[in-house]
Amino acid sequence: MSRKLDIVIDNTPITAEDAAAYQDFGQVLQGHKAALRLQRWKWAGIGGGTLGMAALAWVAFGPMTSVEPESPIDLENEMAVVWSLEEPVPATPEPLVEEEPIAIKPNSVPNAEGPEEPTTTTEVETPVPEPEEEEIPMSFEEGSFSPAPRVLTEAEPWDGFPALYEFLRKETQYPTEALPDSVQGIVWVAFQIDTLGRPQKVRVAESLHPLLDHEATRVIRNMPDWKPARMGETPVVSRLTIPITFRILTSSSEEK
Amino acid sequence: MEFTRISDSEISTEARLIDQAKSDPRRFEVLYRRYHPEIYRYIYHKVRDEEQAGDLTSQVFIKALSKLKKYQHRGLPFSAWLFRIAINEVNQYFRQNKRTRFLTLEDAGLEQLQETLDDTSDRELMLETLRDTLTGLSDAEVTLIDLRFFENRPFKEIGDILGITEANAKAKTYRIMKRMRTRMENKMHHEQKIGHRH
Repeated sequence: MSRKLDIVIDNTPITAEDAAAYQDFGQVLQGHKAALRLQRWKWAGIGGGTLGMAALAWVAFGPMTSVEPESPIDLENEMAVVWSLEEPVPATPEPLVEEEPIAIKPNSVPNAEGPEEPTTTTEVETPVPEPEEEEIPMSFEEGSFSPAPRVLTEAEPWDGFPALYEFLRKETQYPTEALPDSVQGIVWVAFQIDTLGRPQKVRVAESLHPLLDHEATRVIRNMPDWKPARMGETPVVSRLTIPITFRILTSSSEEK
Repeated sequence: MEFTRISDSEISTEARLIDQAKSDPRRFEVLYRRYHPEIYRYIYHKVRDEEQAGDLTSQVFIKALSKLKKYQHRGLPFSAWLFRIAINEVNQYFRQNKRTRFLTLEDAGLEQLQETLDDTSDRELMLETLRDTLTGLSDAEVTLIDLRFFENRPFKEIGDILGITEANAKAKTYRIMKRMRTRMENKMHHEQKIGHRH
């Protein structure tokens, strides 16, 4: 065996930060897309190519001539074609929630900003904008691996905050047992988004009524996955508080 | 070496994430960020070149994402599957070029290895014979020894990665070790003789 092999004693372990310099999910997505296209091209190439050759053979030599088998696909050239077809890559793969920032209050100040005036029944409020989060500039140019700055990127729902609030609005039911008490207002639910994007440690930060509290935490537990927060390139657990608003819409106000 | 140990509930969350990523590749980012450092470290230990390790690691994840539709969840951590792809990628890399393949370990790992091999010779001689012995093994055998003694992975996990049972992983490893021990003894004996003559 012509293997060259060596043993190295190295007492400095590779840290997550060392690895982070080579983390670039945009590149992976791009590579994946290219691989998909390559697959499609291959099939199209074989199908189209064979047909074309057959037609050409027919024209040139008439029906009796046997068709030369398709030459093996030149992977390298095909790759070049595929890559050149790639659209210019945007600086961020999917600009999420840039336009409609919706507030998620840091845990420390759950009720700092007053509730807004909601209008409908069992309404989940659409809160006030939060200062914009800092995005890590991601560059996909080759060889531009600079150590990632240790910037905190906040957790966000995969389909954006509007979709999350839509989900919460639809999912939240005013518990009919609480109607006699006619409680209305906001339950602030605190939770963590773990590094896999799941809500954990869901608890009521600001209580309203046991039944409403229960409903609010249930909805949060069942909400769709989030994109986890990260410090630099490393996923981290993040703490968030979301307000869930309960309103009783009386039949008289409904008629008006 | 640190190893991400995960609970059953995390394994099922992973399974859900994988399902989601099958239709929306963006979702793969969670798994990517979770396992990138571990795969990078593993590959770096073989190639000992940061850029090269970075490239190969990207390749591993591109392959994983592209093959994700074929992935079947069998209750194993997703990392086992990623490692299998990484091992193939590394083996292929060394087959395609004439670079030196490295096996990286810490002092503690070396002591443990020396113990397992019943080796009492001095460190330099031991390393030299170990290197020569490993050079004669097949890719699969080197991978097994590497995972167990250099990467310090438990047999259970090695089994998961290689698609064999824990017991089988153990048996195979010790069979190779036994052969290595014999070879090393022979070689040392030979060297001592030479040393004696001069």
